[in-house]
Amino acid sequence: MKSKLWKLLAIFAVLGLIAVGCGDDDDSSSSSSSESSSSESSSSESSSSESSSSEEAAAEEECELARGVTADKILFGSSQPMTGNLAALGEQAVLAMEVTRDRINEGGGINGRMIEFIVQDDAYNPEKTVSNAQYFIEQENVFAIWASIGSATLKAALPLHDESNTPSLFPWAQDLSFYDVNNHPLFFSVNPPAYAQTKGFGNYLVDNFGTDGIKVGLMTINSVDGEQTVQGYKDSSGGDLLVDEQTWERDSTTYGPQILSFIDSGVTDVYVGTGDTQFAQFLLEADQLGLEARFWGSTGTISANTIELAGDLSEGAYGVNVISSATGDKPGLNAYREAMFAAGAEEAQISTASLLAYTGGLVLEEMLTRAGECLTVESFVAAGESIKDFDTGGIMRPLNFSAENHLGNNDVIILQVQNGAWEELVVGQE
Amino acid sequence: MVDYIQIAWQGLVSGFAYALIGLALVMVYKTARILNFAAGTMAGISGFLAHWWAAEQDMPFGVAILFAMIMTGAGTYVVERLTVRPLVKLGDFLPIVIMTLGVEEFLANVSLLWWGGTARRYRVPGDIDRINWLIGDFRLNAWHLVVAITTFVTLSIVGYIINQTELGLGMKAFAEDQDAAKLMGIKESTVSIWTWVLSALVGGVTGIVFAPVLFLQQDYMNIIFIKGFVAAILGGFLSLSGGVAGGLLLGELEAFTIKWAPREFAAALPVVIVFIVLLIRPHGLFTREKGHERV
Repeated sequence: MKSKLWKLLAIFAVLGLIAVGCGDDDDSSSSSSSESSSSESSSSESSSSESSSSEEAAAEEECELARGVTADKILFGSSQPMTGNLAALGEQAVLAMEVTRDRINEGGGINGRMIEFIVQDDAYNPEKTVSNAQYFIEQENVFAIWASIGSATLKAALPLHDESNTPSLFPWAQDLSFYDVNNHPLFFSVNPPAYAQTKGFGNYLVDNFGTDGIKVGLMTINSVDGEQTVQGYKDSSGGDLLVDEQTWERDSTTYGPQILSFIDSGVTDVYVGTGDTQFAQFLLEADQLGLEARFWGSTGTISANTIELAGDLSEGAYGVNVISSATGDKPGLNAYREAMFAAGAEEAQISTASLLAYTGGLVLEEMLTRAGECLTVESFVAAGESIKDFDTGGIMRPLNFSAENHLGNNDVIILQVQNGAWEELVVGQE
Repeated sequence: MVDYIQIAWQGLVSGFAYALIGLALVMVYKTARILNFAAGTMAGISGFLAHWWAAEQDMPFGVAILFAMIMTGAGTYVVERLTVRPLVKLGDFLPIVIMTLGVEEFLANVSLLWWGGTARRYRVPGDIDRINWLIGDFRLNAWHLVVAITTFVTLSIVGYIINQTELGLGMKAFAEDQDAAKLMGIKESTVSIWTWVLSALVGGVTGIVFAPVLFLQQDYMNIIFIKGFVAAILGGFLSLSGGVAGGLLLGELEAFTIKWAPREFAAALPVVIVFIVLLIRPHGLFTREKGHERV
């Protein structure tokens, strides 16, 4: 046995010597051939190639690429509700991310690097979002977390992102605390906080309907997000008109009791901070119980699916959005829809969720391009902060970022369902 | 006064769903001592199947429901034979519970792959889910009336089967004493499979009848399952009528709590109920000790 082992070692040693010898022979043979043709030029070439390679080495030494970035790839992670009652939103966002990835990669990538992303399901459960973040950062070594959905979920994971120097990019999340650049310097968004949205709604309501006889009811999710939504409305010019506040839970099966309360309060306007399916159910139950009021849906309610589910009951309903209607006629929106349908999207997937993810993708592409070849977190953040008057083709007003402001968009857009489609009424109400 | 009646009716409509799922859970537990964690997802798939037959295969509404129920029954037969029965022979029920969790995950993902995450409207003939009648100040939705009638008919059929058929006799015998039932020549596997099928059909009815109310979306019956589970705890896992009564009671408590209690309490209501019942009457409100039905 021992003798066999020694023989094996000897064979490997001989093979190793041969490999080294052949390598030296090849180099020396090539150098000798070049010497024979032109010794001076080869020596000058070798000296210039030596200096450029040393420059490259110096450059490589200076530029330490960020985690998740290689010479040919940039890797992102995305925690999405792929199951549960927000599964539709996760599906829509992921489709938009795929569209973004394919657009960038088919154009040759950014600075030669292709975009890749990994999706993990969190079922809108903050605990799962945190474990997904750990997975992305510690096992997959992603560069950034992209286009997550949910304030509660992102709030749980954000400390982990920040601690690990991982940018959090363009989520559909709207907790006020996210926008504090001092606390979250790596957070970038195009989605204004819920606070700003209801403030814009309140201002629009008073400007267009006055205050006489107006009574407002709010139905928001039972969470910090919901509390901020209510506070935003209270801080608007319509704050004094609030007569009833109701909440809903993720496991709600009916909104009957809340609707009956609104009826008792005599509300004329109800703001519903839910997703599209819940808003449709609310409209259905409001009709069943005889609540006669103007209905204002939040960002999540503005989709073709709301109209599909609620049918005629959605006609005349208002929407308070941060982005143009996904079905509108603007260059950016047309390009978005064309890309989404080409990727196999159904009509119901043309929605705020996918449009927000798509628009975030446009800005992401710009940031990565501006950051240049030496892509680090610092160069990436600086690139983002340098973006001014970024044209989204009409999806949003031109976006502006700075060192003090990582929220490029502060628009509140009011829409209404007219003849079975969402139509914009007012753009840019802040 | 009408306000109270309206809230009570709304609570009752929700309670019908919890009651039916509670009944489905208790049926399997009482006979086989198995907690079927896949009950909610199975009920949801019935709704999706009925919609698929009607909307995509252009079947008449009633035929679509019939096909969906047949597929539900057949699917449950296969699931019970392939996943549950082999584990029953081991004599340890924990693996069976874990298996039902696995079946739930499997079915949920199959459902997601097949139908996607986008919610769909389950259209009913004449769009009667959009018809509302005004009786004085009381508003009655036509589909809610259908839900009530369907619940009553389902409970009646289940009651007839339990009390008037051999299968029902076998289920009661196994619920009372499994060993004695076997000694009497009652085949456990036969009773088990038909109990599972009957339970799935009850769940299927729930999934179909509540699809227009909740919309067909991923996991739409899982929330109902959780509340049906609470209903079964409330009524007692060994009482069929207890499971039903627990569901109706839960629906009412929920409606009145949301209307009048602070929102934090409304959110925690199901947990609070479970806690209190387990403390005071761990065998359920409608079950005597030692597993005999009180009602």
